[in-house]
Amino acid sequence: MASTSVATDTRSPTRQPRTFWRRLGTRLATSRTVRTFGPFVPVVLIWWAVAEAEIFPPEFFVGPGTVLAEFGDLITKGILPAYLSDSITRLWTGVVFGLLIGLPAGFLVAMSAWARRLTWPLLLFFQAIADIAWLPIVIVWFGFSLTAVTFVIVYTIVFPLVISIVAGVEQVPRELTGQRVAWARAGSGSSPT
Amino acid sequence: MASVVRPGRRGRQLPRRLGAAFWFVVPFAALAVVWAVVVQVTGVPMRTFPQVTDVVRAFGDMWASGELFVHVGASLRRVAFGAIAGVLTAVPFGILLGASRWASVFFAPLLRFSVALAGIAWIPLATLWLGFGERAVIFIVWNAVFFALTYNAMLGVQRIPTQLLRAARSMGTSRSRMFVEVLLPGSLPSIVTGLRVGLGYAWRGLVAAEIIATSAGLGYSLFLAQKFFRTDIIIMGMIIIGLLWLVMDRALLAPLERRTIERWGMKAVIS
Repeated sequence: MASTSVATDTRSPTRQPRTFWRRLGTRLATSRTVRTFGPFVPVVLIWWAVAEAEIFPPEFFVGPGTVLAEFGDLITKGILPAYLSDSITRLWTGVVFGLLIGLPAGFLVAMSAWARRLTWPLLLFFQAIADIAWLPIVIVWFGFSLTAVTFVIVYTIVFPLVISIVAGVEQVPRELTGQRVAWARAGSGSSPT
Repeated sequence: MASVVRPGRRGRQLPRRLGAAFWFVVPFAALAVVWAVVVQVTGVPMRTFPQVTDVVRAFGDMWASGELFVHVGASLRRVAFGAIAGVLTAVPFGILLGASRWASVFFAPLLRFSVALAGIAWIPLATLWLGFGERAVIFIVWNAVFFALTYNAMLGVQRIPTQLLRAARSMGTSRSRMFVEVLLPGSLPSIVTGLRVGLGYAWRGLVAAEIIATSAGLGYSLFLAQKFFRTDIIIMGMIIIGLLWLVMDRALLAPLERRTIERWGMKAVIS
């Protein structure tokens, strides 16, 4: 990553005479990639040095080399890709169902005073029950299955989604646009994030 | 954000509050009724889902035996220790980072990465390093609070208007006074937001860590009940977990956040 930045740096036009190192420094400091990934380089180096010096017993503190080797091993054996694709499938299933439930529910609660009155305290309460706390009962219900995982993901998505939609609809200024227009706009314009 | 302050709000404060309390309770009562009727009609066995009365009885039993207080006490103590350790370490660190442009550029991606990773993902390592017990759980809570709080304290310092910093500096403020009288209060709104976010992660991490690492606490009681298919205890535990967080968040953190933000002359955007 650093080498490509150096390569692009050499052909950058200079407006005023500056030393090579300063130009390199500014170039690196303004590059997005370097800003995002650069800080990880020293951290990994320190990690490596600490592991190499065996300050902690190696069984408890492995170095980046071991982690990388293990990563490669799991990739070649096909274990990690399988796990990853499993996880992504679960995530997708959960997200799709979460959106299918959360979006309509969110706009219903946001736009109907009655729905809101009857569900708002429940929404706050259910959002407060950490998704983790659902795990025991979900496992009692579905065992260790895709359904169990999907349930927890759907649960995690739906409540914040509904609450955010309500908050979003509320922020559309009613005084300016009138209730109906405000609702219409919130329904079509705002992004469901 | 753009909401207009309605006139005459103070005059009918009490009836409004009563009405709000009423409408807060109604949905829960309705839910309990629906729950009772559904379980009664469908005849679901208690292994799958408990009746309302079962949950109430489980609550009474655990209250009477004192078990409830052991678990709740253990969990709350861990949250308190972890959170206090988190605040004491993260606030100075975050402000120091925010005060230096280079440090904040350097640490921002690392912190974002760590915030995303905080909490549950650390549990295996925490138990490996600190053993199964109190220390691992407190580490998880501290970890969740620390990164969210450091990141937000850093952002908070960066949001302090430059004029204020220059004004303080031009009057020859010493570094330590700068920290205590400008940087810390200036970043306080952001710090409180960070604390709220961090404690949210911490609460989830706590339950997860207790499931794995200890022999007391709310998470552990859920785990134990699951082994014996005691759904009544599970549901009761879930309600308590939800209630405790609701009380912590709504009664403690949200008002603190709102007050700090409003006192600093900003408009609160939190519900």
